[in-house]
Amino acid sequence: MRFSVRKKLILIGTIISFSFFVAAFTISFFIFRRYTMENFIKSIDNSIAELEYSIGDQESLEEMNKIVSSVYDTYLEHIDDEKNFKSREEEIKYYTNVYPMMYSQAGIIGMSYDKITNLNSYLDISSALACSAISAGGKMAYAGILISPEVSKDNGRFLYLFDSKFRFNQTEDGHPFGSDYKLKKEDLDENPNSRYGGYVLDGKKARVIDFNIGKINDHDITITAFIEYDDTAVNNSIFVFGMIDAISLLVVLILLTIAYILFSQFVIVKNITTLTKSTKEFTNSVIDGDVKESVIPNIKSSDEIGLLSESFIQMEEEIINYTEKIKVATAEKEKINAELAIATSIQLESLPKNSLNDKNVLINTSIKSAKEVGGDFYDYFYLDEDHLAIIISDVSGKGIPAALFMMKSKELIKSKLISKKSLEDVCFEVNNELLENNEAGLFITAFIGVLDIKTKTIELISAGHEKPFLLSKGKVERLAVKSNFILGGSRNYKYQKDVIKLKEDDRIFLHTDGLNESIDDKEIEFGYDRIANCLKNNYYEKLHDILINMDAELNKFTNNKEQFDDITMLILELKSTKLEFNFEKPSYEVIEEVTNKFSDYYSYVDKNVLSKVSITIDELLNNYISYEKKDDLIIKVSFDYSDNRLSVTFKNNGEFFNPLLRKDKYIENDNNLVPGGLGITMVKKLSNDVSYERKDDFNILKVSFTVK
Amino acid sequence: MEIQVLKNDNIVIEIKGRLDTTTSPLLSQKIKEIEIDKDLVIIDFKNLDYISSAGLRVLLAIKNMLEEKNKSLEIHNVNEVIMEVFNVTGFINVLNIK
Repeated sequence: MRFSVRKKLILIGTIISFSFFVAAFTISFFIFRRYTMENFIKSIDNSIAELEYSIGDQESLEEMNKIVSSVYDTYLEHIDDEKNFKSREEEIKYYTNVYPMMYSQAGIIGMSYDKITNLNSYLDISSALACSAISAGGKMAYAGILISPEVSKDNGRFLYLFDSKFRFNQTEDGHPFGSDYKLKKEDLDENPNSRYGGYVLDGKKARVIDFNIGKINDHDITITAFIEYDDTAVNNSIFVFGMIDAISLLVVLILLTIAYILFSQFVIVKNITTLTKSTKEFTNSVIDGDVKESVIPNIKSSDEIGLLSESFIQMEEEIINYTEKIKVATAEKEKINAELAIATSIQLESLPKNSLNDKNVLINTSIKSAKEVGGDFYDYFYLDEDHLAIIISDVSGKGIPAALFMMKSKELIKSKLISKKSLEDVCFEVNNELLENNEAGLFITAFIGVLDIKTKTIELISAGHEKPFLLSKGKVERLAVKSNFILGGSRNYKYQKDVIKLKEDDRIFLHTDGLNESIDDKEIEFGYDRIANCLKNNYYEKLHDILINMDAELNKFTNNKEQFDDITMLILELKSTKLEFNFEKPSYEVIEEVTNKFSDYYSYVDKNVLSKVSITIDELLNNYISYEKKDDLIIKVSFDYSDNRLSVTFKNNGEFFNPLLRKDKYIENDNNLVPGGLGITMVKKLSNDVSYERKDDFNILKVSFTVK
Repeated sequence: MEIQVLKNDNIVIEIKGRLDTTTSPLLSQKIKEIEIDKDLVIIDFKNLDYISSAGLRVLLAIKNMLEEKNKSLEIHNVNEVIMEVFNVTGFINVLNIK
């Protein structure tokens, strides 16, 4: 799946914004919380300071102290110091009686307010403290004049409660804080200099605001407010403010993100998209072969995209130019290819046909070029009636130069051979002439042989060429002929010939080094042994099939790898003029066998003659097989072609039978349409000569045909 | 040998190769398989190399079979050798060669 730059930029922007939001929110929350807390404490301290100011001067405080002392004295009067309580209930009961009196004493304090200069009432102090409490985010729980337990001698703390509610709704035991009242100072105070301290009251967190008004027996007497303090309330308030803070921050960040996305869209991505689309369009036009010009826009931007756009435009121009060049080059190449194809066909046409079948020899050739125009060639031609020249050669190099040199070499060798010079002289002269004006330094390796039909000898010179294989009497041998230097290699080099005596049916296999030097996947060469084995395995095959099988073997070996060199093969068979068949107890199938082999062997003979011989074979063999009922019947058929006569001799060991004694059959009209006897008539009439003899218990019938 | 049978206004039998001891029985067999629903049967020798006496006997048998059915036989495109065979055997007298 494609993930476009646009999507990536949006994703990155969103991630960055969100991270920034989380970080900023966390930081601001804690700063805000700290700040808020400090502000609360400050405002409480301020309230207390104001209170101090309201209470006024030292004189007023002393006055207040006096009043408190007097109330305290009254209190002491009613307290029995020696009293030992037997139980908690007893203690409670005792104090229940004492407190009302205490409260009335305390009322004195309340009533003495006018003696304190700046305050109207203790209630005012109480109210002030309550206000402070609320502003601190708490709830006024109790307020009163606090005398330490060491002084008050009871479990309570307050000598006098300001809050009327508590005054009249005392707890069951009459004690304002209940029997289990415990006040414990806790280290809740964030600010040790503040008078806004932290306590735990009845297991709840509490804040205490105290205001010193005097001393009794060195113990401080304070007006104290207990504030039930709820952290959640403060936290909620902080949270709300924090959220407002955070939401505004978020909104700002979302706006910034949108701005960023729009920016990236319109400034960066838009350019990239434009560039991408136009480049794609351009590329497609190149692929379609119809190159559009000036498709890529010039994006005037000082950043990398601008640079990229410039580069693309440059590239576009380069491609257009390059495409033009390629078009021209391709056209030229096509032209050259077409010319090469013509050159190849001219070259191949200049070679003789890939098979020859005459009365003397059978030749089959194959040429497989590595490039269109190759440097290999073969040639064969009669110098006169009894001399056949055979050439196979490999020109150094490939392509046009090799092809031209090959043509030159081929014609040179042919002209020298036709002039009937000795083979040594032919090579000597060809060598020197190829060396003339040969700046390219091209040369050829060649096998040049001249077969004397009559003597059945072949004279040959192998000039730097692969040695020939001889197939004779069921054996395959790579002939150890003399190695001569290449043609076109060294001026005035003396070439030495070999003379090989051949027998009828012998075959000579020639090849260029493309065959033995073909390599397989492991770079192992095909080599002479594989060639020899293949020849051995196909010894009795037709020449054409030998070459086909060699090629198949080679392809199997190289695994159809690309061919590096031309591969040329030529195989020649010195034909026997005779063809013989021997059959014991023959069946009708032999007729077809003889007919096929005969017509193949003498395929160079006139077609009409071949047909007549075929009819003869059919008639006579059919006759013998049908009528000779002998158990050990032997039929021999032999062919001989010489002096423009093709003769077939039929021998059989049957009863004496001279077909020539039979009267000819001729159908004159519909009245004598009795079949039989026609065959012999046809043989006699179609042939040029028929003779019969009985010899050694064999019927011998010789049928001859004149070949024009 | 290849035998091809075409039917248009007539029945045309094209024979390719040679008509000898080995192949004649195939023609004989083929003829028996064809429904002779036309008046004229043409055997085209355009692609026939040669004919031996075995082939001649089959031709004769075909001719006789057709005549019994009041149909006729024509031999077309006869080459030089075959014509010589027809001549020396006298088959030229009994076959309708065109």
